[in-house]
Amino acid sequence: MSKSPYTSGKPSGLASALLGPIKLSEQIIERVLFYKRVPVLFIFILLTLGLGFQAVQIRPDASFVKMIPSSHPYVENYLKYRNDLSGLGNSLRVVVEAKEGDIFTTTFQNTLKQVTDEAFFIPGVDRSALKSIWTPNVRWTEVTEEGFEGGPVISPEYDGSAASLEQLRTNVLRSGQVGILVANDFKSAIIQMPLFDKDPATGEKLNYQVLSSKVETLIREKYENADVRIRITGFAKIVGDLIDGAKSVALFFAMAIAITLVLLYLYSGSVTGTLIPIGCSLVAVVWQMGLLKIFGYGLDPYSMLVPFLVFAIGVSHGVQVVNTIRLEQSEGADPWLAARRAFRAIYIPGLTALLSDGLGFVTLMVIDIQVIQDLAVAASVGVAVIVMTNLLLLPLLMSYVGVGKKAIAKMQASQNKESSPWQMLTVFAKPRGAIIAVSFALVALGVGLYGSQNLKIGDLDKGAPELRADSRYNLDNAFVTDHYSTSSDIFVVMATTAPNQCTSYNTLSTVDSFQEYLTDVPGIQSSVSLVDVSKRVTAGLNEGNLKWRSVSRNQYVINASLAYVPSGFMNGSCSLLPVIIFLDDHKAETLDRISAAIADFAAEHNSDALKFEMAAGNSGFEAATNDVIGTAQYEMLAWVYGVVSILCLLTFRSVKTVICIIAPLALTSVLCQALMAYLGIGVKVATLPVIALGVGIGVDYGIYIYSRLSTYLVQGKTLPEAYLATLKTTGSSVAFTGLTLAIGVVLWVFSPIKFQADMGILLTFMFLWNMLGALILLPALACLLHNHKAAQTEENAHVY
Amino acid sequence: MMFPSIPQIMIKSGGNMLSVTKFSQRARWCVGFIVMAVTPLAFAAMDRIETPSHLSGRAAEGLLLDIAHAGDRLVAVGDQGRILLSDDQGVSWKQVQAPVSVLLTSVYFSDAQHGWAVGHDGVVIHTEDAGDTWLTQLNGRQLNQLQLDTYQTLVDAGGDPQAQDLPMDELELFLEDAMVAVEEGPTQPLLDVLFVNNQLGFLLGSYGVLLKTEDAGVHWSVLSHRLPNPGRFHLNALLVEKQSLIIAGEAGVLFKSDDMGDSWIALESPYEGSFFGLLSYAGQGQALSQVLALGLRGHLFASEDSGDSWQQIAVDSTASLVSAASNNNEVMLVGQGGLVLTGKTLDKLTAFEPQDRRAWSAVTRVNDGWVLVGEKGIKRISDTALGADHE
Amino acid sequence: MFTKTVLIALDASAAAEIAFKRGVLIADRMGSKLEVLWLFSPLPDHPLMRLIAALSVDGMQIKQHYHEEKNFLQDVLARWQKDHFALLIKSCDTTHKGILAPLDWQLLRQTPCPVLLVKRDSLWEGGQIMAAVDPLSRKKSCLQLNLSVLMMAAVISQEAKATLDVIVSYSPPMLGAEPENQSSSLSADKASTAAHALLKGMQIEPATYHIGEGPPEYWIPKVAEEQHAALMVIGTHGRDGIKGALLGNTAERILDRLSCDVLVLRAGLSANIDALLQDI
Repeated sequence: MSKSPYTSGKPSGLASALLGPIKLSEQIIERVLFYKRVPVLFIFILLTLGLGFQAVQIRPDASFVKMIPSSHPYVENYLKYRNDLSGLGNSLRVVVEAKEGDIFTTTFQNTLKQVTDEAFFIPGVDRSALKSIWTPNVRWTEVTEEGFEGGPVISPEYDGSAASLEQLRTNVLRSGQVGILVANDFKSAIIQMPLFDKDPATGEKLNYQVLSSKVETLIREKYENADVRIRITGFAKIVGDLIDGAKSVALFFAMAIAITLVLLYLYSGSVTGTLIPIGCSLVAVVWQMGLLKIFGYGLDPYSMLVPFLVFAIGVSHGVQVVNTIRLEQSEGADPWLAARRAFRAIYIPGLTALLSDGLGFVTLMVIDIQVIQDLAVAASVGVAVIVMTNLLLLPLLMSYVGVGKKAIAKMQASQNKESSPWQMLTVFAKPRGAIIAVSFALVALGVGLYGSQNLKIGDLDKGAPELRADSRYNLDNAFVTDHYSTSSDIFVVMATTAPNQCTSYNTLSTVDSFQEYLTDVPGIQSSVSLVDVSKRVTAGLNEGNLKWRSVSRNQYVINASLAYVPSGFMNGSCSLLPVIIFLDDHKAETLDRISAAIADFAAEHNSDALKFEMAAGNSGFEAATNDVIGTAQYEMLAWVYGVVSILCLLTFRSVKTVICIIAPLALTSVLCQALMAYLGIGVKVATLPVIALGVGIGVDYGIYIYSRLSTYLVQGKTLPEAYLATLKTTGSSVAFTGLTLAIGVVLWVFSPIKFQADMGILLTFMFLWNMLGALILLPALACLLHNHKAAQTEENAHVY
Repeated sequence: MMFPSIPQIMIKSGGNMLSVTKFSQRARWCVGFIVMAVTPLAFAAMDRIETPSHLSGRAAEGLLLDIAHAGDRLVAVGDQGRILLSDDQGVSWKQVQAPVSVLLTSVYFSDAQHGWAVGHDGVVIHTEDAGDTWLTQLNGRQLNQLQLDTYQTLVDAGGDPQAQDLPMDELELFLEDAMVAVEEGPTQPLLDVLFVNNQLGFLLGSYGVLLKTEDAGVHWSVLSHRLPNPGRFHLNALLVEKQSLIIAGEAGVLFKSDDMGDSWIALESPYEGSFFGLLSYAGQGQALSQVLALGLRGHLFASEDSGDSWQQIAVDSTASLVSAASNNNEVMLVGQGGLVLTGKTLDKLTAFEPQDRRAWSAVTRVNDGWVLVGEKGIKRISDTALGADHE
Repeated sequence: MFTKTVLIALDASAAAEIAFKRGVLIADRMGSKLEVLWLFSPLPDHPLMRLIAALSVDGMQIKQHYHEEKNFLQDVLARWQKDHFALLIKSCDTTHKGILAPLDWQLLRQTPCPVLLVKRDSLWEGGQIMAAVDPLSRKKSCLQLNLSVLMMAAVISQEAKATLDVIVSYSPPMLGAEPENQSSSLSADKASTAAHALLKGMQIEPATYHIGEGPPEYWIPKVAEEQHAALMVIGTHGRDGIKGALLGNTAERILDRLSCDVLVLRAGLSANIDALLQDI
């Protein structure tokens, strides 16, 4: 009997205190599971059917408000005044483009009219705020010797004749809508469709998928023809496109599953050992979606990937279990015994790994954005479910059938082989190789830290970053930006006053100087507010004379100039005056600069009578989101690593072990950030959780490998020997899982949804690098950290 | 950007409703405004009359209303108290700070160093170093007080010896208005400024206000009552033509003074719509210069006899003409809706780049072209571009 | 010597005869009284009835009790109340009917004395007596049970002139647990050490130690089959109710897999057993 430096004399009090309950739970579960197989199986089947029934009813559930950080001061301000800021939240813009010629033709105007009418009837559209040159709320004005003249742009006498069209052209020019509702080159016109977040009649949330498909069928498909092209932009369309893209997302999942199936069979050589783990993982997905439905969640475009992650983690664990069963069977046990022994063997590392995954995902709840919190819930539920399906159901099913003879023969052959391809890797378990590996890791760390400095927060590209640059949506969006004067990046500052004070001279004059202040802030294209309305109408009341285009000091003149105010410039109780700021872009640095500039102005000029509050508008929300994400990303990583480290510490009861397991993960996280910076992927709501997810998935490898390694070490093997034995068993599973999942995920690069493609690249990288880290860096660190200990006497050694 | 609808009452409701009702509404206004005048004086800190203009990188892109020469230098003024200087004939501009943030409506330099700019809230600012630095000479409050003092004195004295024809009740009306104005605050914009030399200058503005200075703006005297302007129409432009002063204003009013502004007569107006600008111009082949009056809805009139009689010039546009400049025989007229007309004679005016719909406010001549200012900032039109467009 | 009574429970199966014969052998050897509890109503010409009659002729008085209570378990327990017998002998019924625990299991859980379930006809003499112990456990009840089992097995092997073997099964390795539990060989070493220490402490010298990787339901029957054991002496915690349904008892589970007789000692009865053994 050899005494190894890795065995201590007596286990510490803490160790037995921790292990006691774990071992007890294992005994109880093991007995119930393996002696009451039929009842347990029955329960599982019932649950699967019940949850499956729930799962198929799960619906997409996207909401604008869920994607913005609800406790951020900007968003709180927005939510306070939400009802008064209609049209600034959610809206669609439909562009009707004349392929040849301009819009002043009978057929085009006819089409435009019909599309406007069509838009009017689409459910969810705020009809009173609908705007196109065909709606009565769009008017022209002119000054004559007699005073003002004005009327709707489409006059009642319009009859499609050439004279009417000439009149229409004049009206359009006089209406000031060129660049807003009519393109600068007069070849297209826009219908602006503001949307209700909640249907005012039924109170139901806006269903983006239905809206998007209605708009597609009723407008684009119906009216697009040889002469006319229809383009559609707006948040609702993005969401609709993403939800539609869910089908392709599902297709890519299916491909990844198929690839996993094939590769797993080639690796294990066992039909049951392939079908059962994959089957159990799919059951886990079904349970996860069913539970989410029961808890009242839906699928939003960002949590669409969670089912696949659940599948991936499930397979990862399943392969470990099956491999252990195969090992037991190769030593002569029958399926029942092998399953039972494997269950006991894997219990602690499996549970720890899944617990780390789960708690790691739960820490995402610290981020104040509901979409991410929902993701946290979905992922933790998924991991919890994997405990049931892959740690309980899987061994149960395997106990009936075991792995096939072919698989057992394969395992025995590899165990008996004298030289193994894994031999090469044992060099890293020796001091010299370990130093090389660790040095390389340190260099990589340096490269990663350097590269990740360029990591940007927020969107880096124009348009909708979730979709490809050449996607129909982004092409449409680029068209609007190119041909119209209003950018789609809007930042709204809310000037709040006491009721009925929003039109007072003092308010307007301060807002006027605010808008002047804004002209000097780089990144701002222009701004518009009630002040502009007042100034223009005041000039209008004076024959259009530009010299009168100022805020009058005379309140009666102001009141006269504001007798008719278009919607969205003030609220009903005249206590809110939005200043709508159009930005050049929505890059994070632009938003930062603008927020800071506005905050400076507000600090200097806020008083009881007038406050400048941020922010609304899509860029306002993005500023808030970037703000939250900026701090959140480090908070999140701190929590994830903290939780995972503590769990590993409780399991392995050794700080050095924790270092061996966590250090490779940390390296992967840093490199992943550098990769994101290199690929131009910004940290935003969609990509923020990626790194936490990577930690969650990667910690499994380290825990399994270290557990197995330690088994051989306590038997007295040297580190290289123990490591080789580990590689042949657990190591090969880890390598297989990492590679297979990476291959499955790398195909996502071809997805039409850029968000999924980005995720594909990042997840591929993390799967592979985590795998390499666990296989190479972990033993290297173990070697270096324990090296000097091995030389000490046995009594001093106190390391597991 | 967002062009709103108009109050229904204003649509085609006839005549000079604006001016007449303004007159009778003053009484009503004064009641309401006393209430308003009491509103938070805490805001005095942000008062644009006293707040220096904000230096902005995009100052040259906003609303600019007038442009003048100070020697070789160009000076443009406009919204929020922006003052821009160019020393390279309008190619590049730099902003200097003004002591006010009001909309500046007009600027004039009597020589390369001395200039005056006027604007809303009764503001007058003055520079003695070619526009590098400016000081406020007059603001609306002072103007109101000046008016009040002037009319109080005149009423107490029983009349203005230099305006014998002015009945007492008219003068008392002026006094009443002055009292109301003091209550209302500095609400009246000044619309034009012109200095005959470094000492003698005139300001005109809304509701018929006319001021004269003989000491470069240190002291001002109120001459509004000397104009036969019972409708209190806005005075938009002032021109020195030969030895006379001509004023053109709202509703087609035209006034002329032969004694440097002490007394004025009303000229017979050829048009009932407003005039916005005046120019002295001699076309090709003309020995004597004419006075051009630019007005509402494409109306252009020329007078060969210093305003006593006018002939309408045909203009192929219904956009208002606002300002004009000339160089030798060439004249450029600018106006609303991007209207730019040029020509060597008045009967051969052609439009330049009709697609640009920016409203113009003023134009001046530089060495190799013209510089325009207006709604969206500054535009430079070179002679070559002009020539190319005409082909 | 068992001065107390030995009760044989006879059910309607054919194996009851083997149990009866075993009971007779033991009573004969130990000189104890023998009583019989009929778990069914036998016909007068039942083979066992004739055997009993034959024995009483030979001078062995066997008292007979009849089935009175609602179920068999109640019968046995009622009998115990009236007359604290020292050993219960029954044939082992390996059929499991219904979802509730079979009668044998219930007997093992509830009978307040050792239970001998008889499966084979052959003599114990010259065979191997197996004592299954768990020397690694720290629980007080387990330690007591170990002692009881070993003492009983030692006494029986002495009386029956059979060899005594000790079977120890250690838990299969558990990754992540204490070092000695992580590896099979280390666990084996530890179990061996503990077993030797235990028996040395009791001054019993078994013929062989069989130390192997569990679970016990696998190892114990495996060894018993390979060694052609005559008798298995094993302890049980006798978990009943929900605990019994979920956790179960190892002794019960191996009943099906053993082909030899099983003597089960219940935890908590050590006082009784000590008293019993002192008689010998």
